[in-house]
Amino acid sequence: MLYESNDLKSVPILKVTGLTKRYGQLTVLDQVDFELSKGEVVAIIGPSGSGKSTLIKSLNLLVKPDAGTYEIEGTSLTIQKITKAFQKSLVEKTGMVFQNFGLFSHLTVLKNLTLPLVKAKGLSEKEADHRAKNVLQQVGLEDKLASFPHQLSGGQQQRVGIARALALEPEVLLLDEPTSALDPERVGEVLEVIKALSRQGFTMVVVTHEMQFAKKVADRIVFMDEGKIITQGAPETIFSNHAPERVKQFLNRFNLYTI
Amino acid sequence: MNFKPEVLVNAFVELTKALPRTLLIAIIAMAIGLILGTIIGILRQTKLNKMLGVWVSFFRGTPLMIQLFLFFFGLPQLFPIIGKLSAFQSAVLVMGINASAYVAESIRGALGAVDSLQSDAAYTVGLTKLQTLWYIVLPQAMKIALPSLGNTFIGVIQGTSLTFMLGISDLLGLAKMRAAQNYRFFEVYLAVGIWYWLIVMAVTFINKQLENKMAAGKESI
Repeated sequence: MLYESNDLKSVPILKVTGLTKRYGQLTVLDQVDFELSKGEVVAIIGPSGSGKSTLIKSLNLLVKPDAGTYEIEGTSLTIQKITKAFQKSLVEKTGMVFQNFGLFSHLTVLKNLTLPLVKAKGLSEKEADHRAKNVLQQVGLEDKLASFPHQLSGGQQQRVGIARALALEPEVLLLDEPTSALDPERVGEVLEVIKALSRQGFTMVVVTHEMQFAKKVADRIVFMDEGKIITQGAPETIFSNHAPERVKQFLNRFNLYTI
Repeated sequence: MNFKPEVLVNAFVELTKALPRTLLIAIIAMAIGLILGTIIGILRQTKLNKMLGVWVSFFRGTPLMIQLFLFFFGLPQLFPIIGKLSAFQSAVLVMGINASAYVAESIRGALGAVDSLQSDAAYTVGLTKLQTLWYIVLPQAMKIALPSLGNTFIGVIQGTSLTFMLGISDLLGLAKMRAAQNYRFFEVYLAVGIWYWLIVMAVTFINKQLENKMAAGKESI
């Protein structure tokens, strides 16, 4: 393995082992082990259909794998034995950002943030309002509180998506192709928000096709193909001539593998 | 030709006496239909699907009049307690149940039309399944179902005209009585027809306003 754990960041927040997921005959995740340390930014890359999205969605059990073990806070449970409470703490630990934003289309921007805060976190309307406005300010959308998602550009919608996840104060942010549905001119504004979060030391997992971004922001790159993690390591290792042939072949499309 | 406009006008005015009863039957029946139908529509996503499918199929597949007769004249022979219900109560109940079948189909379709990403997102922000249904999916489904719910309501309004068969003097009941007295069938039935038409136009208008209001946040940029 190329990856060597960095001692400074070795406090694991979440660990999964042997994740396997099948849809009929198709194995989309094949015995995947994945571990995440505090403060780490991990970029998952690989061709379409390689299982990246399924892996990231398995981390909060949005997708329930057929087999595998989850470990958080020293508790380790196989998928068959996972309790409601354990699942709840996984969800609370993680915030998720979707490729197609997943904003609640019948609610205003502000309501998109406050509804989960009130209903799931039990905050008062006033506390929720206050927190939501703070977070929206962070992503530069404090003037869009009363807008509905459809009135916003894709980039703005995605920033709301990020804000909604952040408002719940997760330990880990899971971003599933956060810029893939945006038109090219809007990609930058979303990547800037994510970069700012990484500078603040936020723990993140990003599935992405933005190789330059992955190279710059990620501490670790995970390369997946056919449901398996083929290799993982620091960006300098992955984006180099020493990377495995399959990785170079993939990155070749992006003209990046020679730095 | 022997058409008497004044008879038409008189009948039209007199029918206002029966208007509240017709509206009351329609509104209460629709309210029952909405509540019951929404619950059935939701429960069709569960194991009860098959059983409720039979319910929906029966009430959509048999004439409303037969349902009214079965309930009002037939069932009391088996369960005397049902005979204690008045004609009005029976009519409202049967029409509500009948409407529930149509509402259930609209809601079921609309629930299926809500993007599954909405529920996925709700899960990741920590909402329970029930909260997701109540705060996220159902409001969006209602918006989708609104036009067809409006049609169901129109069906209910027109269906109330059958309740005269149970002896209720609704719009049509009163019109029949009047026509039997003055033999001015054309004028009286035209008057009652105009009343139904006006009610349906009013409902259509209100429904359109509602649709527009609900779509307010949906204009594209």
